[in-house]
Amino acid sequence: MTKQLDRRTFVRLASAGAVASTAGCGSDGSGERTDTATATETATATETATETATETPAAETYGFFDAEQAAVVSTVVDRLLPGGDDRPSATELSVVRYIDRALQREPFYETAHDDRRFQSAYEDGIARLRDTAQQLFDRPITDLDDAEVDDLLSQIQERSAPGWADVPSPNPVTMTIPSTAFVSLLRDHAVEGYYAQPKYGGNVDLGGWRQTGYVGPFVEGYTPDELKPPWKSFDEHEAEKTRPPDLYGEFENGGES
Amino acid sequence: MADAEVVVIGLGAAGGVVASELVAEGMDVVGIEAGPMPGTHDQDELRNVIDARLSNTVHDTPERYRQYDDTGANAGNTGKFNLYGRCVGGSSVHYCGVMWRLLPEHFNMRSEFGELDGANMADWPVDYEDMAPYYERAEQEIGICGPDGGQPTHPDSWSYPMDPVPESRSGELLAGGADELGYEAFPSPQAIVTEQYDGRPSCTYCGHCCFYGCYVRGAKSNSLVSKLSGVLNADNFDLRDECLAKRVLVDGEGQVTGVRYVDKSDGTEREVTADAVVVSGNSIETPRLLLNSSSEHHPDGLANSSGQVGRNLMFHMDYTQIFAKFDEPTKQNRGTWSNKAVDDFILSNRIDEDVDFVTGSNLQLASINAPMLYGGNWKQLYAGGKTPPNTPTWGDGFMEEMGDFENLVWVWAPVEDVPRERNRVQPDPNNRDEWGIPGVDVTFENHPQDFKAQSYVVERCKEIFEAAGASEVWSAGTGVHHRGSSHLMGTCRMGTDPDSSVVDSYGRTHDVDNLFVVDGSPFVTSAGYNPTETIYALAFRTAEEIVNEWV
Repeated sequence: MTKQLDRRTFVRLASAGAVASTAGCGSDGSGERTDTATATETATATETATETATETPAAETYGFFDAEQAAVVSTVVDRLLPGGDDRPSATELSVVRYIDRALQREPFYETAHDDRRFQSAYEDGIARLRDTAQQLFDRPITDLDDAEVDDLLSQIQERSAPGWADVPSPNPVTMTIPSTAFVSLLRDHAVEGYYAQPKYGGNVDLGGWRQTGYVGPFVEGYTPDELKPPWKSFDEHEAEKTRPPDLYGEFENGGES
Repeated sequence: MADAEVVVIGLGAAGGVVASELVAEGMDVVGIEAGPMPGTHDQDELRNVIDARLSNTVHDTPERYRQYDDTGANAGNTGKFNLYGRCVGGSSVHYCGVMWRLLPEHFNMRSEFGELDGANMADWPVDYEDMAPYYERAEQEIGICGPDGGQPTHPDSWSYPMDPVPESRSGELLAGGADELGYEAFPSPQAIVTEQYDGRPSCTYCGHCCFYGCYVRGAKSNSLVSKLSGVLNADNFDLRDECLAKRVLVDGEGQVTGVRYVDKSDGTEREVTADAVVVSGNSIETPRLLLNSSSEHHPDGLANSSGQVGRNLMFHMDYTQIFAKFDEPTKQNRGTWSNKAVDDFILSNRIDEDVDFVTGSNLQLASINAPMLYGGNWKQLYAGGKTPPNTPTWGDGFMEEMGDFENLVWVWAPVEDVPRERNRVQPDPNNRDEWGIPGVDVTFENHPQDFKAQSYVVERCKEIFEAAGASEVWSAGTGVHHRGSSHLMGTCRMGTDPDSSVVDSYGRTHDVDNLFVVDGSPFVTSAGYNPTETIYALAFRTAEEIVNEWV
């Protein structure tokens, strides 16, 4: 189920100089990554690479996930948030890197959500996903095709997959999530990674925002004229305005209220 | 001699105003605030909304929520249900800043509409005419913008010190739909600086108001930038932030003498003495503190001889949301939180004598300020996602829905809920915070009339969206009992009768004449409007009373 960067995304990323970081996290389902590095040289090369990209071993190293865990997570998040003609997939936006960092991130302030507490949920959940795939399809989860992964996730969501019958859902009343609700947890983390500010490791080149048409924050905000059509494009806004410095960088004082 | 003339507990919308006013009059004031001084503000949805860093969905006070049938000490759910700030400036730092004067009827709901079975309807001990000068002070001194002439459905007319926010595409769409049906959409009055004001810069319409501190710092007016910042360095003001009030102290006569608090920096307990104490927590923290301050003279809790402290809690039907999707982009996330509002249903029986409920709601545009907040997340207050019913939560269908993010319009309705004696806050000795202070045990069920009012205004809003040309219309948060809110009102009701109310119209408690309560707690009924301008107005009035008494 190797996913390539679609051409439009790729050209955009290449022109923005963001290909290297994207490629570094574009871990696909087999634990390998799409090699896009050679594509940065010329537009012609870009198109060629998009159509005939070769694969090389994954170079991305994670702080929490080992290579096999990262491969499983990559497989799943690319079906939770799949790419398409006009949008990058989760791994193309480095969602796995986002999750890897979230699981190690200091909470924003003393009593905030602390995602580090989900480390064991991920350890256990990934192992259970691998077991379930093996039981249902007699193959490693990373060897399944897209339809098979979708089938696996649907069976888990419907609680019909072996071993997932009693898995609880997140509790919207108490705003808590049982650690066994692994796929829900992974889904929400994937959405965060796809759409959060890029300083957290995902949403590379603001690809998640581009997918929705959201232009995002600027230091200057928006003029009254920009509250109504005709709308300027994403790139026109980017050319005219300044992004808040913390959008891409680590926040300097993460514990400050 | 006491350490201070007045101790103000809680420096939010009300406490910030009261403390600033008293300091400006030369009184010695100590301010006790459970949270820190807010730092720099950013436009980061993960920190500010999902993790609610200023609004503390994960805050220090343990909460239990139960319905009427949930009896027994450990019944109900423990969790985080109420949304309020815990920093200097309180919830006014992160609020959306939509500001309203209540209508004359809102102060006289019992006289206007009579008794209501299962509710505890009453009139306020003040009329609109009593409050009007203080509303004006709030508009001028806090810094509120709005349409010339004031709120169109209000019988009074007035001018705001600044022009309203410029019209956005979603405002234009709402106005078109309303006009089609004979209603009127008008610019939402807001605590937004639309031109340089009082040394503060104009709003840049960045779209990050609710849950966020203002990125421009000062373009969103609040008690911190509009009032407290002017007195922070005064010699007669001693601000003790990150200090959590534990108990209000009394003498042998039952008069208030000061406050015992936990200094959170090192966990030690300290005391400060004062001639008078003003409690400005909110409708959760204020009754918690009073009920945790029982003593020989006040065996059922401080100032609670009426038994009404903690009762008549009101939330608004804060979950009520109506959405529309259009074929073309709206870019609804730009501008301020609320561009326009429709006020025709604020008291629904004004326009429709057939309705069988007494309240109503303002309908106001709101803003989903980043795509992540549309996608849903269990960490997000009120269960997150706002996508249409039956939208897949993952896969191609989910991604396609996210692709429509820029085509949305969202209206939020603070439907007026009626007060009920059984809806109450009590201390929860089985669920204490890390300093051993009992948390809160909240019992709440909406009155049947609340659901009727909610259903009515939701349907009217859907009609407006359809008239505006929406391709899809849906609602969320309807038909469920509210478990918590960001609009906290009641629990120390004001009134003239000490047997049925806790404070007088100035916020002075009937039982203890040197103890004041001013925040949302004195509200008698909730009105279908964001409450903060009224909280500001009450605070100016209480401050004036204290000054007149002492100076």
